[in-house]
Amino acid sequence: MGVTATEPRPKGAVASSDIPDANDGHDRSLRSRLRCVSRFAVGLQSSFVLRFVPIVLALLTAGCGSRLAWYPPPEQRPSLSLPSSLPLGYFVTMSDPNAGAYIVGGFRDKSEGAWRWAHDHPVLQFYVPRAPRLRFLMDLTFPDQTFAQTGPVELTIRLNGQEFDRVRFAQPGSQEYTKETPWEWLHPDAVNTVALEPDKTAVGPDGERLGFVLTRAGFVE
Amino acid sequence: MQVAAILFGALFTVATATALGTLLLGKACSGWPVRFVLGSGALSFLVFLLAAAGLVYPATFAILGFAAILACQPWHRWRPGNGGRPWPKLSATNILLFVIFIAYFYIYFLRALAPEISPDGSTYHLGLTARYLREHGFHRITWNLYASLSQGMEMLFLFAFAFGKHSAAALVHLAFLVALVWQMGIWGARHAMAWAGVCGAALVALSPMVGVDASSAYNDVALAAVAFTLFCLLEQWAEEGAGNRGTARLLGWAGGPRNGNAGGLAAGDLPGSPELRGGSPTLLPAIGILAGFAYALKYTGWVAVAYAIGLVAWKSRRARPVAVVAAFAFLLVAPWLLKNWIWMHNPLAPFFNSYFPNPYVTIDFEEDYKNYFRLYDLASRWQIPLAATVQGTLGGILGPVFLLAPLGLAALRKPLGRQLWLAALVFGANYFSNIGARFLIPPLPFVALAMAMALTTLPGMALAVLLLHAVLSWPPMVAKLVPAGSWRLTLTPWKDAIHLRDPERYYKNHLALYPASELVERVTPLGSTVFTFKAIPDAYTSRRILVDYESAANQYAARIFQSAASGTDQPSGRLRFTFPVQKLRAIRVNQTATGTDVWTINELRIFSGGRELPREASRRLTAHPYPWSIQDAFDNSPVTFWRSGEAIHPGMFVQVDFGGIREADQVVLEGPTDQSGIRLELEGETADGTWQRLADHAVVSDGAPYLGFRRAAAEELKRLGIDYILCFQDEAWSENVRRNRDLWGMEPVGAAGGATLYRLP
Repeated sequence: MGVTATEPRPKGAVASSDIPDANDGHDRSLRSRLRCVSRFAVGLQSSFVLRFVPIVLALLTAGCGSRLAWYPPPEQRPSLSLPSSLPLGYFVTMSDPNAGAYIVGGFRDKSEGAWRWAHDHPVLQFYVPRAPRLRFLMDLTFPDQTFAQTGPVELTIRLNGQEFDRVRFAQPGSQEYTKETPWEWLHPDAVNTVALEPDKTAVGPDGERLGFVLTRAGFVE
Repeated sequence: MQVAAILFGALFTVATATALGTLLLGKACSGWPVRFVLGSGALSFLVFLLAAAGLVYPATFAILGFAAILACQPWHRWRPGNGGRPWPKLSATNILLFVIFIAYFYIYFLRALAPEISPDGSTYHLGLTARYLREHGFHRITWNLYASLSQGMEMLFLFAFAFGKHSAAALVHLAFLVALVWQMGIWGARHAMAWAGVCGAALVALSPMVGVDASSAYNDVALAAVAFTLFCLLEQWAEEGAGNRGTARLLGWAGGPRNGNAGGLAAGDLPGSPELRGGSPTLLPAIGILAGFAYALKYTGWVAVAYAIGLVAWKSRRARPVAVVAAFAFLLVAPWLLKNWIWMHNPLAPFFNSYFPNPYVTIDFEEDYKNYFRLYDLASRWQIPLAATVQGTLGGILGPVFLLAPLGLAALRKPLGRQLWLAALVFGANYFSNIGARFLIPPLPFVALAMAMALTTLPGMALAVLLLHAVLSWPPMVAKLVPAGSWRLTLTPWKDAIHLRDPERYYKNHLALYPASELVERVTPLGSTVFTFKAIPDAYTSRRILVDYESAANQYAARIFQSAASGTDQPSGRLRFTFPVQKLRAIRVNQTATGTDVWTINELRIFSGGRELPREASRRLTAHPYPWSIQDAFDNSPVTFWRSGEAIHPGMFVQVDFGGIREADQVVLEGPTDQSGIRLELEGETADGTWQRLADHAVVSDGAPYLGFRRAAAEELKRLGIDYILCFQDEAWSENVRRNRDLWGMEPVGAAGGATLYRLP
């Protein structure tokens, strides 16, 4: 409800008569301006404002409430993964429950969480899909204890039986190896083998030949 | 011609504001500074209304401006001479001070007149202004959090920009410094401390931080001018007898010498001159408008509203004056609240997102943002005094003489000093939320006057400090004090200032990222969207520039890009829940830990017998918090993701309602590996509608990096509406992108200033 001309003036409101008299034409316009301002001020103190303010506050705080919004499944993107029907992929992490499927031989039977011991002739296999460019990547570790026995280790990497690279690891600890792999070394859309042969291995307490610890290996872009 | 347009834009804006102030105040106050500052609030409000109505055109502004100027009939008001008052004496000190003021204002004027090169001015202050002019008003901008800040100053910039472009906006800001300094001088004279007033004004005017800020398209000096004008009007209102006499006297507002004309200025030219005493009805609305305008200028100005309402309530002890002030303040505050409420779902955007959750700014970003500004790169807050006055590590320096600010505490012995310190405390109350040196500008006039009150009690001391300040604040001297990256003024050659030389050359020499903006403008078609990790000066391009941190959507795009560009940050983490096969209506993954990690899911897959359940249309998905992007965890893309948007705490969940009964025995969450702090449990809603725990933990493993991830990321960015990516040489991913363009499917379309622009596929 607004304040109309016929309503009694609210207590304390500024009336036009409260405004100092003007003495010239310029001040007449001043008076009319002040009258407008005072009417506006009175309007803002009216019961309308008093009722409006709580409504505005309530609306403003409406955003505070927690509403659960539900959404349908969106449009599906093309999959970046290989079909689940394939037993192998192009990359394996030793924490993968299916890691054993990638091992041809030369590894301890079970992973120790996220890693697995490689022996003296470890061989892995991967299904390598066609892709613009690939590189072979592996994360491996030479623990201090075995490195103390072996000293620097040279690893011969064979792809599908062909010698691809020889890498010398002169320090113990975690290492990342990666190298571009031209397609002439690989069979696209087929299973490929990767042999990782250390020139030296340590001997564990139970006589196990310990080459290095593998965390993950495979082909990446 | 260009300089004429700039000067017209600035002067027309100042004249329009002054005219509106005159119309609002009538005879309640005769000082130009008050009329200009108050009228600026009114003009800002009117420009907001025009922008909201889509009527932002030079012609509209011209009509508004000329109407205001004609309505206030300036030819009736103009009086030649000094209004019958004596001119200040021509003493050696006065002449020296005059020369110093002129010298400083000359370099400020040249800087403001020159092409705009300030960091924020050339990016969001004028970038948004230029956009509003191009689009003839406001349009919803959710990609730039700065568009959600109150933009009272940008509304004035818009008015000036429409005629004189960037430099006109900077000149309007400089006008606020003139108004501030002028008022400080008047305030001193009014209280028979003309020398202290001049001294305080000089301390402010010569401050390197104030100088560079005022001569740029910023808003800090404008806020200081509004704060000081509000202070003066409240004082005038108190003196006119509207308030409680006792309180006014306590604060020095009802007593004190009125006619001690120590500095040559008479009381008659001051606000509250004797003929106007008796209570002007326009003062309270003016106070309200100024308080609201302070908020409209800058969020930190909210204290002005509290200050005005609090003091009027305290002194009048009546509801009516308080209601008038509050109503007019609300009138200027409300548009900004409403704009944000309607468009951003948060009236106080981009802050207070935990109270007003919204898709546009995440809570974790807000926290990081606020945490940084609380300390910058300082080790302790005890380093602030030196950093802000001498070292320049807080984005500029106020000047070494402000290390003497504690001397101003001596002014507390006098009521006026207490009044100044109260205002300083109020307008500095927000400072510790952002300790940048320029955030000290709003309380600076009050501190400077308190310092001046103390210094002028010792003969010769004030002049010595002023001269020292003048020497140490001269731009070449400041350059020796502060590190290279600190924001400071440089002397502007007049040929550059008046745009006689090619501005392009000036931009390239003074604005490091300008070549990137120029590149974007040159090689991309109109309407393009460019994503960048550096805030390039988008005041100089009409393209839509998305900066990585400036919205939740931009941060999302940035994470997609970085996870692909780094080559190592792909979402290879797997969290696998296994449980006996169950018939279920829904599943819910609850997060139960508290920590700093932010929970992220790239894909959530549900299996039965080793086969993933199809994502049927009957499914319904939700999450708490941040439900808005939950679909991104169910789109079969490892590139996209749902993110909780706030640090982990119990109560977070992701829920899938199957829309029927389905058998399941495994749930796998794919996500990043850097969220080791999360703890998850799985619940299921069984066929009879009861919820039961299916698994109390997930088994962690690593998945394979994806082939085609970069290409998928590029396509996803394109799907988000991004057309180009701007990469800079010094960015970590720049080399990866350059070497693997074929894997991304991106084409370089141009390079400049160390940046390469790539077109997305």
